[in-house]
Amino acid sequence: MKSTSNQITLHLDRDAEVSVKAFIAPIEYTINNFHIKWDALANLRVAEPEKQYPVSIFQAFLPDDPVSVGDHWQIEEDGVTELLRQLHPNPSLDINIDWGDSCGLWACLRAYNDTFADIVFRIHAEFRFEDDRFTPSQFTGHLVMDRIGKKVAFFEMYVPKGPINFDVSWNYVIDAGLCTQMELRVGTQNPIRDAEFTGNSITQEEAERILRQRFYKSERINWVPPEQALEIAQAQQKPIHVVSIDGPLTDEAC
Amino acid sequence: MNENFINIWVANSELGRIQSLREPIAKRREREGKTFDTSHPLVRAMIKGGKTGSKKGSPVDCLVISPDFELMGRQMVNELRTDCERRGLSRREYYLTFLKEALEGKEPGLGNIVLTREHPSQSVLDLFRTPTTRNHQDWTVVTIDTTAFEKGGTLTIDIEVGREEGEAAFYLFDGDTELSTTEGVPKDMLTWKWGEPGDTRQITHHFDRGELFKLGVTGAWAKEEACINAFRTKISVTETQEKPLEEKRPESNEGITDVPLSELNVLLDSAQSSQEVLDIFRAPGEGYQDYTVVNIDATAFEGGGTLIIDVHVGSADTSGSFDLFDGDAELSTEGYPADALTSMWGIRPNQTGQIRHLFARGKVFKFGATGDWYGEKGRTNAFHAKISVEEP
Repeated sequence: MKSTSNQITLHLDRDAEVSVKAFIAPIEYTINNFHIKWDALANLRVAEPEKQYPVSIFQAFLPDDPVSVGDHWQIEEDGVTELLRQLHPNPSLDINIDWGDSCGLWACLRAYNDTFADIVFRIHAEFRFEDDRFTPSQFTGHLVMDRIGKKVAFFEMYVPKGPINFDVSWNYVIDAGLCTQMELRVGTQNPIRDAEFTGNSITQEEAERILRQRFYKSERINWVPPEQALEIAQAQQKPIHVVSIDGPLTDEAC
Repeated sequence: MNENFINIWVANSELGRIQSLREPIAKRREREGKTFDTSHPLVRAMIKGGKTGSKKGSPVDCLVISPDFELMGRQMVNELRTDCERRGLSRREYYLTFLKEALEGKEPGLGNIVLTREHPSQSVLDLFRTPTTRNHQDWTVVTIDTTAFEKGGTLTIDIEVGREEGEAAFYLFDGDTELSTTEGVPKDMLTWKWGEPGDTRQITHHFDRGELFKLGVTGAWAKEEACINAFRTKISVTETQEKPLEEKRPESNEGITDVPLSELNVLLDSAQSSQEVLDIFRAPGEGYQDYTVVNIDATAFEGGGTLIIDVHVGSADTSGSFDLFDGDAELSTEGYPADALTSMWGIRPNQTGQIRHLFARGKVFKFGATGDWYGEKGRTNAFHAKISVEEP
């Protein structure tokens, strides 16, 4: 592993193996009750709770070229598709509800030191069922790389919680709901929680913002929290442009 | 966007627009010690924006609100494709036009049925109700924008009244008229028609210059009980001719169905393989069914066929569920309709759906329409069903 100025290269030991655990909690809420009416949703469970992979599969998340903190790159599709099959046998990265900026897989180097590198990523994918589809809001997470051992020190890829975090279509009718846990994981505790990254890091929020911008043009708009809008609108006498939406604006839950 | 607007997005659940999430959201706020002040004028304007207009309900609403918290415009995502096509604009061009028109005070989307030369006709499916208090008008309002017809024309409103017991008055007003909730027969109406269950009526009005109109519909006390009924209108404009159309055309049923809606039975055969029904359904509460039943007699199709039911749910604030049964089925009022031949559940307001059922020989069916389990019990909405058979 070499470093030139503030850039690093990231490669894994291709001979090692790693065990990945998968979790899907039973779905307990959908707006229109599809989780009760539709067997495929009611019985949604992981395809394989635990599976061994060659570590090289995680090379899909790493850049080919040297990168600096804040740099972003596209994730290689085949490796991610293989991992998603552990959750459901029929994943697709070509998602159905594409408004032009919905598809993609991006990663960003958030931080590094001599021991670890923390890569934050965002992936949009869906699962195709025999009679329709299930589209999570997004898959996000961390790949923490052990730079000395060239191993995966920690990995989590999950659908973040929210009032609503997935969209489904069944017989041409749309619904949305909440799945409290859908994730793939290597390791139980993130080893960089207390690590020092003097000068070589950005915040988690900043990394997420960089990734959001790769997907959504609407991120060029300066969205302010509703509480702030009350004050600003009256002070600046500007009209208020409101988007009222079932799920978060910058994901695929609605 | 950053220069001209303060931009915010807010979850519908925070505004109380997803009924089934109201309780969990309230509990979460209590747990987290956070509050969302729904009494603030901005939040009130957002909630009002979600309910305004003749078409209610879309998973995404875009609103423009003035600095003093008055609604200036509304665009529903569910209508975006149709609206773009209607004006021949790309999504980007259309949305920019929407924002500009909102800033110009044209109030786009605030209940307007916008008629143009390219699209001179639109339909509305909604409810009217008799007031819960005597001498109090409970208006359902459709605002009609004919400003594209600068040289005037004739506004024609074809009305169908659903088959429930409620009767209604359909009044046409100028667009700036404030509708009184206490006045008996409004003095400043332009014209009006009375409609009883199953009636078809027509309002025509000639105008010299494009303008806004309001169609106000209010139920009437024909019986002691309060009633709710469906109505469907086809609203259209023909450009000015030498002689106004109302002088040429007597009241007629042209352009709308001849099916007597008060009948519960639909008889289909090769000569008339399609009929339409306009009625209401009611939300039964979770775990129950409260069916509006339509008997469909398809025995004339001895060689079988495909029964197709195209359903359009009205604009009121509750979703519909629809089940098809054998003609001799006993319809349960509780639990899942396990003996349904096919079902279509959770059709949201203003959405459409289709039931298809293949049958080998002619038979009778029952079509049941009921509210979604997650709608507030007792809430109603209109539905329009086109029932047809395709022979093999």
